[in-house]
Order: sequence, then C-alpha cells, then structure tokens
Amino acid sequence: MLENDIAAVYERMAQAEAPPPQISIPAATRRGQARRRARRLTVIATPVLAAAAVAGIAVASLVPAASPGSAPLPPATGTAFSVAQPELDMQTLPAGTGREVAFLAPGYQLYVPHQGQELELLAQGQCSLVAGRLTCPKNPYASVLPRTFRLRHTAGLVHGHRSYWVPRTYLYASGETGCRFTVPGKPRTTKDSGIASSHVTQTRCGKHGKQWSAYDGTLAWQFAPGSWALLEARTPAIALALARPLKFGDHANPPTRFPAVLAGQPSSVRVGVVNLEPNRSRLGSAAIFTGSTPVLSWAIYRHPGTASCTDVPAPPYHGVTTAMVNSTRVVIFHIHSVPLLWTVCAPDMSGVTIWLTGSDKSALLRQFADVQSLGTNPAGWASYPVRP
Amino acid sequence: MTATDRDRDYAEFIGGQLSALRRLAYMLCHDWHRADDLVQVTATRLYLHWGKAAASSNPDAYMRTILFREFVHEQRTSWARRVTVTGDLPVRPAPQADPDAAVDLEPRIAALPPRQRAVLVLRFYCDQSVAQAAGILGCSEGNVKSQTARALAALRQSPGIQAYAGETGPESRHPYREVTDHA
Repeated sequence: MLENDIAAVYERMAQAEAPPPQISIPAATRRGQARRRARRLTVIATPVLAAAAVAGIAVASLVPAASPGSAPLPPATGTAFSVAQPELDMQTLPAGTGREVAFLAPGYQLYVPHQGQELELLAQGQCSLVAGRLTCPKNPYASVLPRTFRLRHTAGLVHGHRSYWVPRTYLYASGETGCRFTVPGKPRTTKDSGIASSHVTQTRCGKHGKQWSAYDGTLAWQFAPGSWALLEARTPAIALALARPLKFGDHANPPTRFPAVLAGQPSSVRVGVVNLEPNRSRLGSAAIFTGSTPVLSWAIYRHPGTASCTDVPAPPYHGVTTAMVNSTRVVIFHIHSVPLLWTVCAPDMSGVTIWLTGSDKSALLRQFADVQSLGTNPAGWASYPVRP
Repeated sequence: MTATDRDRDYAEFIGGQLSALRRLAYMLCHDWHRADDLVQVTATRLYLHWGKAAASSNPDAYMRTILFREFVHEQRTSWARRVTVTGDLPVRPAPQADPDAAVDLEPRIAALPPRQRAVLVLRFYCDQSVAQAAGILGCSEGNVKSQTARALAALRQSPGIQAYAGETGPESRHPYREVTDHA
C-alpha cells in the first residue's frame, strides 16, 4: 500500500547519513534570552502613566469582613510603590525557589518567585471589592484589560487572614475550527490562546474548541488593608506553600541601590520599571525603564575579566561599531536585523558594565555621555537611578 | 530555580534531543540546511516556553509540537513565499531490494504542500492518531483527515504511481475511508 511505502521512505530518511549539525544551543539560549528581554522591553509601550491613570480611576477597595480571630493587618502601604523599594521580601521564599525577576512600578509590583508562578502585588486603592467581586487593574506586563474575579471559595489563612481561590480560566483556541474570542479593545475576534476568560465578552466555538484553566492555584489575599496580592501557581498546594512564608512591607527589604545613574535628565523623566535579574555570573543587574527610551542596564561581574558587552543582550548582533564617548570606549550594535533598538555599551566603567538601549542611535550616543558609573562599592551607589 | 539552573536544564534537555529533532525536521524540510534552521528556531522557541515545557508531563511532545507548528507557520510567512529554494533535491540511492525502487516517492512527498507533509510525517512516521496529529498541529481532526487524503491522492496522481495505485484495490480510490482507518 502507498501508506507503507511512505512509511518506508521516512524510515530511509531517518537512517540517512546526516551532515554535521549547524545548530548552536548556546546561540538558541542567547537568542531566547534576547527575545525574553525584548518582550520585557515592550512593556515600555505600557507607560507608567497608564498605571497611574488606572490608579486614579480605581475606587477604594472594601475590605472583606475579617474572620473571627484573624490577626490585625499590617500597616497600609502607600497608594504607589517605590521603584527602589521592593514590597516583598523574596528571601523568605521556601528554600529552592528562585527569585528571578521583580518588576516594580507605581501601584504595581510583579514577581516571579518560582518558575511558572507569578505574584502580583497591588497597592492600596488599586483593587476594589464590591459584592464579592474583586476588580483589579490590568497587569501592565501581560494582560490587556481590567480584571474582575469572583471570590467564592476561601482558601484558608495566609498571614492570619482569609484568602480566596480565584477562578482564572484561560481560553484556548484549537485550530482553524476552534474558538473565536471577542475581546473589547481588540479590532476583531481573535483566535489567540491564553486569554483570560474575564477578558472575553463573546465566544464562538466550533465543536473542536477547547478551554481549560492554565493556573489551578490562583490565590488572592490582602497583605495590607486595601492592598491585594494575586499569586498564580500551577497547583493550590504550591500557591499556599509560596504564599504563607512571604513577608511584606517597607521593612521587608533594604532599598535597591544602583551602581549607575542617568544624569542630566529632564525632571519629567521618572523610572517606571526596575527589572532585577540575579545571575550567577553577575552580582546584580537591572534594566530601568523610564516610560520611553532609553533603557539603562547594568551588571557587575563576579570576575571582572569576564565583563562583556555581548553577554546581554544576545546575538546576532548587527551593525557593530565602536566609538569614544567622554574618553570611554563604547560598543554600538543592534540585535534584530531591523534596527528598532540600538544599544551603546561600555564593558568596564569603573568596574560596571553599562548598556543604554534606545531607538535613536545618535541620541543614545549623546545620552551615554550623561551615564555615570558609581563604581563597585555599594556604599557609593545611588538610591534612584535618574538624576536631573 | 535561578535563571542559570533553568538554562542548564534546558541545554541538557535539548542537547539530548537534538539528533532526533534534526531527523524529524529533515523529514519535513527534505533539506538538511533548512532542517537545521528549523531546529534552531524550535530550540529558541522552546527556550522561551521552557517553564511550561519543563512543567509538562511530556516535554518531548511539547518540543515536537513547537517543531511542527513552526514548520507549518514558517511556510506561511512572506519570507517563505518570496524565497524559492532552487536546486535539485539530494539524490539518494533507493534500496535495490525495495519493490518500489522504480518509484521514488521522496521527491513527490517533498513537492507536497507543507501542511500535507507535516501530516504525513505525523501519521506515517510518528504513528500519531488523527486526534494526536490534530493536537500537535493545532487544527481539527477533520483537517488532518482531509490533508492526509489530499496528500495521498496527490501522490497517487504522480506519474509512475498511477498504475501502481491502481493495483492496490478499490479502497485506494476512497482515501478518506483509508485515513479514518488509521485513527
């Protein structure tokens, strides 16, 4: 039969002598890292003003009745978080969990306490609780719309306070005859997968449409009056294990300090997001988004001799040139074949490797003259990475 | 898990799968260079989704799904439409003992549309059921059946195969029924 012959052809191809592979796993890793970084850069398009506007619109939350015997809530946090003051003490996470990323923005902080889990912290006034419905503003890094959750099922005590399981069904489309979702704010129906059901106003599914919950363990609780935490975990057990040891508040962490600053900026430039990425090869690094370009990143290498401009972002690099800026030799390149974002990098400015990324190459070179390295001694570091 | 641990786990996994992945890509592309490109893209995409893949019960299947979908998707892009790979397919001696030595199917399979090629590889090399193939390609089972039927029909229409196909009996004129038998 023809089918058997086709199978025979494939067997033959499977046994054919293969030439040496032209595949590089390190390159795939670096490119993957670059794409993850690029994804994060896209949050620049979600300016801080949006979060501030949402904060202004959001009505004060109503605190659900505390259960008898529950402990008093810690002091209220401010209506906006500080970019230099993580609200969550990540050192209290269970042993073995990672502390990969922390995004900080006014009114909103996002942590990845462990692979596949996300913790959102929303400052006082960001979410409102009315008639058992918790409405929180959009996640500026992932989703597109305000979210409303029905808090139906209690999940036990977290920090002595009632917590709730949040039904977070994500809708997935399956192929050409799957579901089509109508999402307000999008120009037309979409087949995108992974849309939170709370965003979808209309669904049209063929018989092959599927939907399931991506996160079975999404937990919501107040970590301070009117301040809500939303923890997405793969299972309820993981969610509770991660949530219970967490500590919050201004005293949970020492402030983040910065070994590089962008000076000479207009007073309107504010830091929107700090992306902290602990890495074994670097003692610390951060990307500082100001709501528009440029983006300032820095790293201090455990072994200074390994400092490299081409560690992050990842290859393939294009248009690589060098230049002198204020007696500092810098490398200039862009990552993608289309130069949407240029990077100017100094591998060693008083022991600190510094990248400045933006869309305008010549403007970046001018701005790089305003970058100041504060050296490797934390005593000399700044508490805010932008100066007038 | 730190970023470095994540990267190490990923590198170990993909390193172990590379050979099998290349061969699978070669069956789809019928060209080692394009196969390597496809595997490279797959490896990058797997890195992006490594969290989910590692947490899934079957990371191999996750990776294979990325490969197949990337292959089908790549062929839809304007780049694939613009760029025509010229040159003959590599000539490979057919086994002499093989009864169909006179009819080399490989170039004819290579000439099929990408989605049909993907379906054939899934059905006749990976031994996936119609439902499994549909899940991997992200399409309906009916779509898999029709693509398989069209691919088989196209191969039967190829010169040199028509006569051969005529010998296989009346069922070969009803490819849809044949395909469903494989489900």
